[in-house]
Amino acid sequence: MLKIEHLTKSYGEKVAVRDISLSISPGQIYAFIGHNGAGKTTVIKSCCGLLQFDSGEIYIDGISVKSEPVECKKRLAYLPDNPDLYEFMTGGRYINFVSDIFGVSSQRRRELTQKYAGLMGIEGELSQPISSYSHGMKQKLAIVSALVHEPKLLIMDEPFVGLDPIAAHSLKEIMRQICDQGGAIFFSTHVLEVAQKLCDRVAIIRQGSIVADGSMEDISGEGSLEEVFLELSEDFVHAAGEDSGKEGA
Amino acid sequence: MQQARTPGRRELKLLKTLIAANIQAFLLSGGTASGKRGSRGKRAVKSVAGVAAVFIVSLLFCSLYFGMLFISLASFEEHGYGWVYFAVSTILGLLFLIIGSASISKAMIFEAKDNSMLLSMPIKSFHIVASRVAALLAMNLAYLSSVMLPAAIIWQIRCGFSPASFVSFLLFLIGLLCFGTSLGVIMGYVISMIARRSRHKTAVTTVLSFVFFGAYMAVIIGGQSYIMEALENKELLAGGLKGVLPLYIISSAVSDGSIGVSLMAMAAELGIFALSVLLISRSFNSIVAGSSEVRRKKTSPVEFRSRGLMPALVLKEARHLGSNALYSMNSTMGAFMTILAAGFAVIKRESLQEALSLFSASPEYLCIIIATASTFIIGMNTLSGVILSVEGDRLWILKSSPIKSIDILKSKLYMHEIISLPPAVIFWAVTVILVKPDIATAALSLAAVTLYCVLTANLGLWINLLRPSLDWTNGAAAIKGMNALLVMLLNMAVSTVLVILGSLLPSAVGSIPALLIITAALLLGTALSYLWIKRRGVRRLERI
Repeated sequence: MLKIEHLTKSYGEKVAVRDISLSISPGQIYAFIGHNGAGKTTVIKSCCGLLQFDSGEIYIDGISVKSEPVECKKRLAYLPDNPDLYEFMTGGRYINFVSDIFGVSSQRRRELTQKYAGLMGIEGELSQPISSYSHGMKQKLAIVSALVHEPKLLIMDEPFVGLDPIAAHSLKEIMRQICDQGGAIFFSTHVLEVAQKLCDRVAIIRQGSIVADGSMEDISGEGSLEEVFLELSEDFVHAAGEDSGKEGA
Repeated sequence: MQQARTPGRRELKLLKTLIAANIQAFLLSGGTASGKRGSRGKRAVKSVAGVAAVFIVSLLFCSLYFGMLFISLASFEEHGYGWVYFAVSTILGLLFLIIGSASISKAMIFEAKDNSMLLSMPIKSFHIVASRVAALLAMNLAYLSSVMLPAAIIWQIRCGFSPASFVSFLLFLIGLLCFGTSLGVIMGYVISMIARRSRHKTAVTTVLSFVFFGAYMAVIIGGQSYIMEALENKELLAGGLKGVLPLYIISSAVSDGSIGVSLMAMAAELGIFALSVLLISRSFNSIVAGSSEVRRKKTSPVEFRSRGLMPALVLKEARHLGSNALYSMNSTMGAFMTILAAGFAVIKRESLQEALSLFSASPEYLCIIIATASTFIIGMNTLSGVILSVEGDRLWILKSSPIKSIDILKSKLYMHEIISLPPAVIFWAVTVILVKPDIATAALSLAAVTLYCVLTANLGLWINLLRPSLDWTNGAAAIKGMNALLVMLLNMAVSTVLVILGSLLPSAVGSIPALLIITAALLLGTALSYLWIKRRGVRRLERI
């Protein structure tokens, strides 16, 4: 469903992402975890066609993001970590706008909006201007508009931030449903317990490179994902300390 | 003693930091989000150079526009009415300041994105307001200098400043800058207070902004014709202006070189300025909280209606435009003015026809002149120059959607054309009814005006793609920033060329060949600019 091959992206002299490769199959929920500034958002935005990358390839359903970005975007939905939406629209108008872009019929968008807005608890708010929404409500609206066009691949950057427990639970159920129907989810998160319970595979990124990639059982083993993550981070801190010590000597 | 001084020093340092941040934001308001990550120093130099370039061009424009008026007014000095020169330049300078300040001060002071964050910190409202007003002063200094620098230069050439009168002039400038800024700020405050209490904030703000602008235009048009008549009768003008005592006192102080009076006048104006800042600071919290309050609409069922991609994109642009008073008023001023001009021409058609009949020119020639001249008004539409910048942090919605980049750009061009074309065609129709040219001239002039609208849409978007200002904290910076001014100046340059061609070519080659040449030139410009947008413009958008 999603294949990243040797992705490299730099911002000036800083290499944000170096030679990243990973693969997500249909039916998988794939978590992407790492410290702040590790390169998660860069990878995610590159997959969605929001960032031009320096080298490598990204394929969605076998289609190259570089050469056919529009075709790839038809198959995916992107949810950013802090969704800035069109505040001059009502929630309903925003969903209609997104549906028009993806060519969703009136009937189908009505059904899916009622379903997902109901699950997210914002059905009664859709006639209100987005400028009156709280952060959590905007997040929920962004989720509904991402799902209304039935994407095959859902790419999300920290989707649980700002969601109340009920909405978070609903989102997890929706994610499972999408995968059961043959879709795939690729998301970044700092909430490692959720990743461990929900995800089939996980990749840990550090300083722009993948340091661990595999099934949840392989990565976390008997322990928790948090322990693995902290251990890997500690190794990094020690290694960085040794390097700077050697440089000093 | 040391302890008592420390909080005061800390506050002063904080105020300086806030002022520096706001002025820096103003200077760097263009072209920082082009997707290129060059060195910050280079980007800053480029941005400041851009601001300087635009200032120089507007200075040249104002020199041309007001230059003849100032040269005529300088003759008042010979008759002992030198103060009239400074009185008229005060009125022009104030008008230039106020109309810009009212709408932008509301946005810059009360609607900046970081207001809530700053208010949550241990920072006094006064410091926040003062820092924003400092940035507004910097902007107004640029506007005011566009009028006052030519005024000073022409006075020096024609009459000459004495050392005392030069010092008085500088004091007069400082006072005028502060007074004009405070008037604009107070008007912005009044609009905010009224809009805050209304259910329909946007509609109220838009209506009030247009009312203020209408009053401004009435003063400009009425004032200009009064001045032109009064130039024939100097005593009449001097008598009229003397009736406004403070204006007479301040202007006389400059022409007579009375430093003492100029100092007192400046102190009074600074006092008004300080009072306005204090007044706003007191209400700042409640106005900011009120501006962020959004009145809930009556709950109604959502209508699920499907549209095609391009109609959806254009409707989104239209909704955005209609939702923001500052955006709609500033970016579509040309449309508004063109409709006004057409209405004026219909109402005054008999006297206009009489005036036109005095020119010994054919209807075809008159049609060409009026059509080309009307492009000056239509060219005040700056929509396509800011339509990408106003996306701000929301550009991800379009870029992550399955929309071709060229379609994103086309929707923005179409929006500009939808705003520009109907008023332009209406004005053309009124011209044809008044002047009655032959069919070929009428048709070709319509083609020329239509192509001008399309060309200016392309040119505006070209500017916006070269200088996308997406990282704003204050929407006004995107709407009223350097891009808008640059686009307006560029459109005026094109209009100037058209008017020159329209005046000279008909006598050289005939009306129809002249129109064919003009139309061909516009077609070429339109095609080339669109080609750039289709190729390099698309690449620029994808790199953002």
